[in-house]
Formats: sequence, structure tokens, C-alpha cells
Amino acid sequence: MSKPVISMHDVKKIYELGDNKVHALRGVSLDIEPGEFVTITGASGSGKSTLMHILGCLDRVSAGTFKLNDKDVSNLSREELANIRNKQIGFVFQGFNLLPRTTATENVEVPLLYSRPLIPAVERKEKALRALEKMGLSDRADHHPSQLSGGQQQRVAIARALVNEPSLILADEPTGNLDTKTGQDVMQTLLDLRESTGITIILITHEPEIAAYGSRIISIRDGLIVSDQANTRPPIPTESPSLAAVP
Amino acid sequence: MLTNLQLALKSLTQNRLQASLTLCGMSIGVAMVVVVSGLGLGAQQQIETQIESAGPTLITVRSGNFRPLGIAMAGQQDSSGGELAEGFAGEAGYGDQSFEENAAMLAARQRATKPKVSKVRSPAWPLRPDEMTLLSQNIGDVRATAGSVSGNITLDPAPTNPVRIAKVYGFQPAWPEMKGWQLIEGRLLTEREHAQAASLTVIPVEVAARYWPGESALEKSFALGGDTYEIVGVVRTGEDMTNSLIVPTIFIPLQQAQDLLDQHTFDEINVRSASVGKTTEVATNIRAALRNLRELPDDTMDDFRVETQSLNAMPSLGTDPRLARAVHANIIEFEQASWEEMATSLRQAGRTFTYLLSSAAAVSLLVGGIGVMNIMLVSVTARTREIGLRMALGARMKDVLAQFMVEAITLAALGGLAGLVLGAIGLYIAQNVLHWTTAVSPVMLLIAIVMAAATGVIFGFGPARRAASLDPVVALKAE
Ligand SMILES: Nc1ncnc2c1ncn2[C@@H]1O[C@H](COP(=O)(O)OP(=O)(O)OP(=O)(O)O)[C@@H](O)[C@H]1O
Ligand SMILES: [Mg+2]
Repeated sequence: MSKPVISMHDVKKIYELGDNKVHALRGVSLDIEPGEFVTITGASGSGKSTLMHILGCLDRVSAGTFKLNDKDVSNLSREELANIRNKQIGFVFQGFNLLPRTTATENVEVPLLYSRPLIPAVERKEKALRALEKMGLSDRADHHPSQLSGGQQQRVAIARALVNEPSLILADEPTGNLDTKTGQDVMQTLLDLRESTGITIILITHEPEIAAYGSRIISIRDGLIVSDQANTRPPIPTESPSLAAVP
Repeated sequence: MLTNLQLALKSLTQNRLQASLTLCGMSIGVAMVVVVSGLGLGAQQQIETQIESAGPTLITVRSGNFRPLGIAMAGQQDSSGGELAEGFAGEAGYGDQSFEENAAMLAARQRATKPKVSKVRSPAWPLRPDEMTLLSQNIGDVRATAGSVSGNITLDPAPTNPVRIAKVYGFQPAWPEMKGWQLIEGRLLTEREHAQAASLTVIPVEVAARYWPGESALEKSFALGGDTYEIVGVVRTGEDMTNSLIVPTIFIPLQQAQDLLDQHTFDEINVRSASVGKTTEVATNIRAALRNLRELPDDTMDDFRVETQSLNAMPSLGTDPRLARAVHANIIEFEQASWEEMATSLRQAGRTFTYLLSSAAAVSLLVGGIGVMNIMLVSVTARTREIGLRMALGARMKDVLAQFMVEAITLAALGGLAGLVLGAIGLYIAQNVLHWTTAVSPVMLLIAIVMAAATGVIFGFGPARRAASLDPVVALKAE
């Protein structure tokens, strides 16, 4: 068995607000193997985003251990964490988080700007175009986000998450701002991506239908994992009944 | 770096209105610096030229040690008599000079066929050619020297001669400038004519008016020493010539005069020091060098005089002429000291003026800087989410810091460039419309640009650091 991408043991996250302590995570233990497609569900305020921030090295644990690709990241400096985010993690957000008035290509290039050693501009552009091509957006390379649909914007964001060839993609409610159909398209894109590259995906959602795309579904409540089960029957990609067939 | 610059330009074009307002503020600040430094420098330069032009750079070395205006330091006067008597045993002192001259003239008239030299000499050792060489070549910071010698001479018997006796006054090329001669008519002698000892002469305007009233003296001539000296120029010497009209003074090349008078020495040598500040030093050096050359013992007074030119200069700067005269008649150190005090206070005034203006400019640059800070703070606040995103995508603190610093500096530098242009226009107006004296130094322009960039650095750092130290999670949640 290969080494787990994620290895968490009894992770706690406590926010201190004056005298008040908010226990956002109360002891999460979790191992995720390479190539898994994990969906995390839970009610609002259950700690999903908090968990995702820790998984994404954006935040530190208050207690417990967290290893990413077999490396303990709990004591790394801000700069080292930034490098890990840059090289090993691709983020996809609910709000797309694309830079406005900036072309799709330039948006996809952003992670490459922060890569060390430096990547020459020509190479950056090539990589960005390749990532867009994988997302089927070659013809939208020079479009600004305002000229793209929500689904296209999210696919640009996925291209951006992929461009530095990370081992892990973290998506926080990626379909939250999309209608059902477009959300399904995006999920399908992620499924295909996992199929073709074997990349590990962790996806947060509160919609059961979206969670059902995962190969493993974890639910959390009040900062604790309440269920963690393999999903043996991921939904058959809904090549939704052709509209033409409807009379 | 390049990408940061591109990013900065992009973000500035995205906030066009704000950016251009900030640019305005910045450029006014820099323009103020440029204009003010131009005006301040202009004022200082004007003061410098005033000091230079009016200030004593002329040093007059005369043989003998009498004081022409009679206000001499006690002791100095006394010693001169004894000293002279020693040096010129049997010869008369200064007081007898005019008598001695007249006697010589009478003697000369009796032998009118040949030019004869009046036997009167300076009541001290005249200045010798080797002393001239010393002054012109061996003393530092000397810009020019010019010597003169004069004496009465009997003219050749020619009908064109208006008089029978004239005072020939040999001079060197730099002499007219040093003496402040004003050309009234014709021209002066060229260096070449001086070198070739041409038979040409320049006469004082008083002489021209006396002997050729109502007509031009040019092309008239004096016959002496077997040559005809054509008058090529008429000058106003600035000296009182009324007493020398009976025996008119005529200026001829030094070489000619020395030959005619058979006196290969100088009555007076004028020395132009390289600058006002050097005058005292040069004068002191000349005095020491001459004493040394003449082997004067320490307890002996000078048998020559070294004086600086302040009689003319001081009144032009508003000093009471009586004071100037008193100063002039006194010792060189006092003269020079009071001069330098005046120059110092003038310079001080110029500097104070510049400082005053500069502080006004500094304030407006500060205002520009605050503008930069303001737009940067707004920019950081408005783009908190972008900062969070960049951090999530791998931007380190220093990347974020650099991004915002480059943006602030770009803004400030663009403002600086615009300010340079604005300042140049301002200076142009000051110079050509208001007729103020201005001066532009490339160093000041560089300083203005550097100051603008520094403003960007100083006022951009706070906001940039604030951006860089944002918590990525918090920044990502921002709206
Ligand atoms: N910075 C913070 N300071 C204090 N408390 C926080 C902070 N961030 C989150 N919390 C608290 O931690 C708990 C978990 O929040 P989290 O954002 O992880 O929930 P979530 O599961 O992502 O909810 P949602 O589905 O609404 O996004 C909440 O009770 C929240 O109030
Ligand atoms: Mg959340």
C-alpha cells in the first residue's frame, strides 16, 4: 500500500474569541490514500471549512498531528507552508476566486508565478494553455472572467488548481454557486480528471447528490467525524436524458 | 520583478481615477521640489556671481609703501621713511616726487631731440621682471597678471603732436579688464599687438576731449621715439585724470614703454586671483614671496604694498563708501575679513531662503506621500480576498510585500516623472515670464526622482506589510 496523502491524528482546532473558545474541530483522525475522491458533508458550522483550511495548509492545528505526503506540516514556517500550497495542493473555491479583468490564461498562470525555481514566462503560458485545454477551454483562453459562464469560470479555476501538477485538489463547495446541471458538469469534470491523472480529490459540500460523486463519503458534525464510508456506487455520469427526446 | 511591475501597472489602470488623483498629488510634490530647488539654486548662484563679480579678486602690488589716501596705520607710516632712506640713500622720498619729476622734465626739455626719461623712480625698489615671473608663475590660484610702468617723456618735434611732453603708460593685455576700463571709442590693443610691441596707443577720454575737442581722436597720433603712435581707442579709466591733462597720459604696449623709459621694471602689478575665497590667501602668499625674494628681515616693514580691490566693490553692495574707503586704506586682513563676513552673510541669506522654500516643498511631498499611502491602504483593503487567493496559490509574504511595494513605488515614480515635467514648466515660467533667476542641476532632478521613489517606499511599506501579514484564511473569507 502506498503512503497516504493525508494522515491526521486527533486534530483539534480551537478559535479563541476573548474568553470564549470555539471548538471547531474536536479530534479528527483521517487517512486519505492517493487517488481517492473524498467528499465531506455536514451541516453549516460543523467544521468542514476549518478542516479544509488545515488540509490545505492555510491554517495550523491547535492539537494533534497532520502529515501531508508523509511530512509533518504542523511546525513549518509560513514560507514553507506557502511553498507546499504552491507545489502540492490545488484549491477550488465556491466563489471561483478568479482575478477580474484578467484573462483565463493569466489567471491559470498565477500559481506558476510563485513557483521556485522561477518559471520563464513562455513556459508559464504554455503550461496554462495546456491546463485550459484539459478543461476544454482552449477557445476561451483570452476571455476575462466576466465573459465566461459560471461553469466555465469554475473550470478555469480547476485548470488553475491543476497547473502546477499537485498531488491533491481541495474543493470547498465548488458547485455552491452553480445550478444543478452545471454543478453536475463540474463534478463530471473532476471525475474525469481523477480517472485520467489519478489525482487525489477532497471535496466539501452540503448537498447529498454532490457528495454521492465521491468514492468515499465522510460526514462531520460539531467538529467530529460521524460517519466515514466507501461509496461503492458512485452515480453513473448522468448523460442526462437528451432534451431532444422530450416531446 | 517584471511580473510585479506588470501587476502594479495593471492594478493601477484598474483603479484609474484613484491612481490619477494620487499621481496628481505626487507630481505636485515633486514639481514643488524641482521648482524650489531651481529657484533656490538660482538665488544662490546669483549671490555667488554677485560676490564673485563685486568681490575682491584683484590684488594690486605696488612698489613703495606709502598710503595713497593718507589713512595709514600708525607705525607703518613711520617706518616707511626710514626704510626708504636706507634703500635709496640720497634719493628723495615720496613727498618730493612731483618736484623731482618737474626738474626732470625741465632737463628733458633742454635736450628735446631725443626721448629722455625722467629720472624719478619709485621711492622704493621697483618691481623687477623676476618678481613679475614669480607672481605670474609661482603663486597658486592666480588667474592673470598685468604689469605697468609709466614715466614722462619728451615727444618728437612733430606738428601733429598736440603737446611736447606726455606721460607714457605701458600696460599689458589684462590691464584694462583689471582696471575696469570702459571703451568709449575705437578699440583696445590685441594680445598680438602687445606681443609685437606695436606703435599704437589708447588714450583717456579726458585727454581726447582736451586736445581734440569736438572731433574724434581716432587715427590722430603722437610721434615719439622716432615712431608714430596712432590712437586706436579712447577709454574711460575710472581714475581721476584732471591733474594729468597738461602732461597727457597715453597708454602704449608695456614693451614700448619700458624701452622708451629705459626702465625694465614695473611700477605696479595687478594680480587676479582665481576666486574671491582665494584672494586673501593669494595676497598673503604674494607678500611672503616678495619679502622672501627681497630678503627683508622680520623686523623690517615691507617696501612694497599688496592691496586688494574693495574700494569699488563695497559701495556696490550697499556699504557706506566712507567705510569702504576707511577699510581700503587699512590693512589688507581687515579689508578682506570684513569682505568675507559680508559674503558669508549673503551666502547665509541665500541658504536660509533655499531652506525655507525646501521645507515648503518637503511638506507638499509629504502630502503626496500620504496620498500614496491612502490609495495603497484602500487598494489593500479592496483586494484582501485577492491577497488571500494569492497566498492560497503559493504567494509568500515577501511576494505580497513586493507586489504592493512595487505598486506604491511605481505610483510614486510615475508621479515623480510627471512632477519633473510639471516642475520644468514651472521653472520655465519663473525664468521667462516672471524673470526670476533659476538654475537646474541634474543632481537635483535625480534627487527629486529618488525622493519620489523613497516616498513610495516609505508610505507604501505600511500598507504592503499589512497586506503581507494577512492571515490567508481570514483574507480568503473577506468580501
Ligand atoms: N476565525 C474564526 N474564529 C472563530 N470561530 C470560527 C472561525 N472560523 C470558524 N469558526 C467557527 O468554527 C465553526 C466551524 O466553522 P466552519 O467554517 O468550518 O463551518 P462549515 O462547516 O464550513 O460551515 P458552512 O457549511 O456554513 O461553510 C463555526 O462554529 C464557526 O463559527
Ligand atoms: Mg464552509
